[in-house]
Amino acid sequence: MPALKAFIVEDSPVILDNLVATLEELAQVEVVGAAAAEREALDWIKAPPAAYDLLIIDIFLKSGSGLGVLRAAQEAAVPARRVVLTNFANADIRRRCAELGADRVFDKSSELEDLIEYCSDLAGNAPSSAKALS
Amino acid sequence: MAAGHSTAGNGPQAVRRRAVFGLVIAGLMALLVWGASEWSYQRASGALTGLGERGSARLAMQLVLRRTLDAESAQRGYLITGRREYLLPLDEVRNDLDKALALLKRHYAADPATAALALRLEDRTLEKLSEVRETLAMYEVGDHDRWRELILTDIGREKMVETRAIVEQMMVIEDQRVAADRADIYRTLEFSRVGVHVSTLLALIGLLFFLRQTASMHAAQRAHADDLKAERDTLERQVRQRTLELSELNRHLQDVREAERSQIARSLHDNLGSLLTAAKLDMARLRRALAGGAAPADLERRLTHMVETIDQGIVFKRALIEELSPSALHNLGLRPALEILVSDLARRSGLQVTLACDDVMLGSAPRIVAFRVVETALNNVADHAGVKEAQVSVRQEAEDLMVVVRDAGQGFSPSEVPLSRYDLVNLRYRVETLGGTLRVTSAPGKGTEVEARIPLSASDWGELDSADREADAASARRRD
Repeated sequence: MPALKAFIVEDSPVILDNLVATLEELAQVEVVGAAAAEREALDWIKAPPAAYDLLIIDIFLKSGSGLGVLRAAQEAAVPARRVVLTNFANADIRRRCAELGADRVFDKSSELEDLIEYCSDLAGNAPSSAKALS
Repeated sequence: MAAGHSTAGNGPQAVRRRAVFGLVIAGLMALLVWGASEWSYQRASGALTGLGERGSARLAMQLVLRRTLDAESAQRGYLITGRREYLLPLDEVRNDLDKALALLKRHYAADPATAALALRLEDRTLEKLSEVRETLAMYEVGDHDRWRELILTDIGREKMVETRAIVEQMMVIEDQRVAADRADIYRTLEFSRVGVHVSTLLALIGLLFFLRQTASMHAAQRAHADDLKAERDTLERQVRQRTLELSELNRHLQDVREAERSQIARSLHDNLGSLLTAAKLDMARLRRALAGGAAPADLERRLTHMVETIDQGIVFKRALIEELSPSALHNLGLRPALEILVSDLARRSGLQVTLACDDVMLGSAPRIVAFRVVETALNNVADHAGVKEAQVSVRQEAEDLMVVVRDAGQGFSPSEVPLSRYDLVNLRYRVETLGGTLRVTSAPGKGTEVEARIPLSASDWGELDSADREADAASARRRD
């Protein structure tokens, strides 16, 4: 049974589809929602139709920026983990993301395996959200 | 150019002509003055010489008369007293008379009437003298009755009277002539005086004329200088305007370039980026599958999925390259490239284009520019004209390629809307760099026509042709 519920903010449908398939196959993740733009993501976080344990955020979105989503999540003190998945993971971006409350930053080109491992670990250790809500 | 200056009367040419004219007049006047002066002098000195001669003639006449009287007196004295002393003057008489008569004859030789008078005088004088001689001879021989008789004949007295009369006549003539000569001199002087006055006046007029000419020439020179300055100012203005235009164009080009680059970046990120990430995700799954000992069928499926992903990447890459630089244009030529462009447009935007294109051999520079003209114009039609039809004509006319793109859409007003709005300024610049022209005709509601004339021999990449061929070869290798 998938232990980790994730919400993905990513504007490329190709990446989204592949990522969902990979995470569900390799990391016991269930993707409960996705958004392609900052506004969509913020609306969803404010009123999540489902509980979630992990936020996966891309920086470059169809409109707005993933940093805005991070900030909003930080301000709302969302209990879920927040990780950034991006093509441009240089030192500056990593620092900014850390300041905005990101737990980890993964480079799309070189740290995909790390992301999968991270999700696996999280899925293994995290209490089931069903248990948390009861 | 010389607005405000009448060039007809005061141009440097006209002024110079008038200056020459003035010089000629001055020369003629100088000649006139000199001539008049000379003539007056000649006439006056001639008249004075004449007067001198007349004086001599008068003296001569009076001498003749006196001498004749002397001879008569001598004769009478001797006849009355018988004393020889009375005859003394007679020797001189003959000499003087001869000289005086000769002078008179010379003096009056010119005029037959007066010459005749002189001869008569001579005759009378000689006759009188012979009468004197005869009477003296008679007295010498003692023939007193005869000489008394001779004297009583009054011949001597008559001769004397005639001589006197002739001399008086001559004197009158001389007086008249002297008066005439004097009048002549006065006239000459008068003429001279008038001449000098007139010359002075003419000289003054000439001077005024000259001064006016000089002023005219200066004015003309100033006007000329002003014209030059105005022209320079205009040119400077034009240069400033041109520079401004070029700066604008440059800025526009930079903007367009940046926009293009960020668009390409975006396109690469969105498409190629996603596909590569997807491929990496596939790899991660494949690796897990291998590590987990998955079945070959599963592996096969994973691999197939990856191959599809990579194929999509290749398709995108090809499309992007074609968009950037159509391979058909380089490899097949202008007409095939245009045909592909037209069919692409029909598919993408429903625009129906009628294409009439000559099969012309073109260098790479005019080929690309011609293609871009049609591409840009047709994109404008698709985006702004509001119609679904357009006509494209590419024909060879003499030494040029005529590219015409026409539509019957809503048009625009070129005086109100800058051509840069429709990417036409950049295009015009490229066409003009090849030595051609680009003309846009449009009016609201009346459609639009873009006409480019490109010299067939144009090649602004002349030295780079071999580099071009290299690039062509390289790009051909890139196309899988």
